[in-house]
Amino acid sequence: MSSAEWNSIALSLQVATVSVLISLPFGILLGWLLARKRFWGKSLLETLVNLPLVLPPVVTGYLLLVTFGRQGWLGGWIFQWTGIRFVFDWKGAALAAAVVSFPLMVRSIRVAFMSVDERLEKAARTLGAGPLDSFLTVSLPLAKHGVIAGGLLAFARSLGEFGATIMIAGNIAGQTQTIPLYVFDQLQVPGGTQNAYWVIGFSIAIAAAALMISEWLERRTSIE
Amino acid sequence: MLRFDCSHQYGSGFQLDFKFESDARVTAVCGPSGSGKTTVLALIAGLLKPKRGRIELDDLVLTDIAGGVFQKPENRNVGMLFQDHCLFPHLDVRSNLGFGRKRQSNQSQNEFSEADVIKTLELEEILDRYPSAISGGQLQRVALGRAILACPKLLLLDEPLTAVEPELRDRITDFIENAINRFKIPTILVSHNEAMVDRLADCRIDLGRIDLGRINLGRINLG
Repeated sequence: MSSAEWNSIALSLQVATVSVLISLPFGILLGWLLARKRFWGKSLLETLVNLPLVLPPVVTGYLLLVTFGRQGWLGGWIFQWTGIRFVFDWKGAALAAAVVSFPLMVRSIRVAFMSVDERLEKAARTLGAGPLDSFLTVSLPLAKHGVIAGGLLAFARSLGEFGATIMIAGNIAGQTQTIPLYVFDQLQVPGGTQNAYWVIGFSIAIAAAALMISEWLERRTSIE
Repeated sequence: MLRFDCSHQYGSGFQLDFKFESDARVTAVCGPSGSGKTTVLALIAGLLKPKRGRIELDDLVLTDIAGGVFQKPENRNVGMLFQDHCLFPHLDVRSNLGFGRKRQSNQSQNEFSEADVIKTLELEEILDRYPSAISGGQLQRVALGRAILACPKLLLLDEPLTAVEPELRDRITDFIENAINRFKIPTILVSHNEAMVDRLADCRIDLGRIDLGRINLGRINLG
């Protein structure tokens, strides 16, 4: 494989890993909230969380660009305080991947928390554990397979992210060119298809492995 | 001394109004299915908040809705044995037993040793096993040990024989009786099992019959 191919694979792995690590705490919090709590605006929150699942990724990317661009209300503020920029940067690709894969992650984590018997949490409370203690020592360990499965599912989805990524991070070889963008580029040039074979194969293998492991973990959650 | 005077309304419209007080060693709360016995225990444990009412345990006010008091379950020092044990499946028996004990604010106040509880309930052989690998009777004994080891000021037993095989019920009743006698924890018992109630309870309170979806005030028959 050429260095361009390796670069796209390494960058994709980096983007997918960072996007999952950043979104996982929020995914756990939201999955638990949606599974356990009743509150005003819950269906609105559910709609917002699931929106990237049905929105055209390019629209999601546009909204991210408007929000996290240097002139965006949040992006400008983040750049001013931390120096982190998202536009034409791999961090933008990670952000896009995190947003687009978030609904899948939350769905899996929510199901995992719903499968934990609520009476176990109550038992923990009568034994002196506060709400956070009970969450960390009972609910989370019992939902862990679903949480990991959600993370893997989001990882697999992040590897394939295209539309939102190209909108915010562009398609710069060696900087923001992930596997799908590399393949897209190669398909535009004569004979490029052969260059992309290895990357396509790698992409299929890693996505299939992530899916298989996540399904196995979800089955374990439902058995337990 | 436990003083209980609460009203609780479910979303379905079913309303429970119940008042009693007891300083008996074992108080049995009896009544037909659906009369709200488990609700009474959940209100005492703080797992439910009543619409109105007050619950006092000795000189501690656990719940006083008018006065804005509602102690969280973890601060009540009220142990509960659930119908189907509710042991933590990801922890072995030893860790289940230690769960409540580790969380006591003042460990030096523990009146009895872990070894004593393990011996009384005959759990020595299964300490390293997980709940999925022990029998129904053992599960209920571990759950009882776990509740006792948290050193509660009051122990609530919710149908402790329901999930136990019929042939083991006498034996589990023996263990519960031994533990209550040995560790001297005031206990509220909810059970359909008349033999168990007759054997353990010093005081019996009847939740009464369902009357148009409303529960009458309880009667107190001090034994």
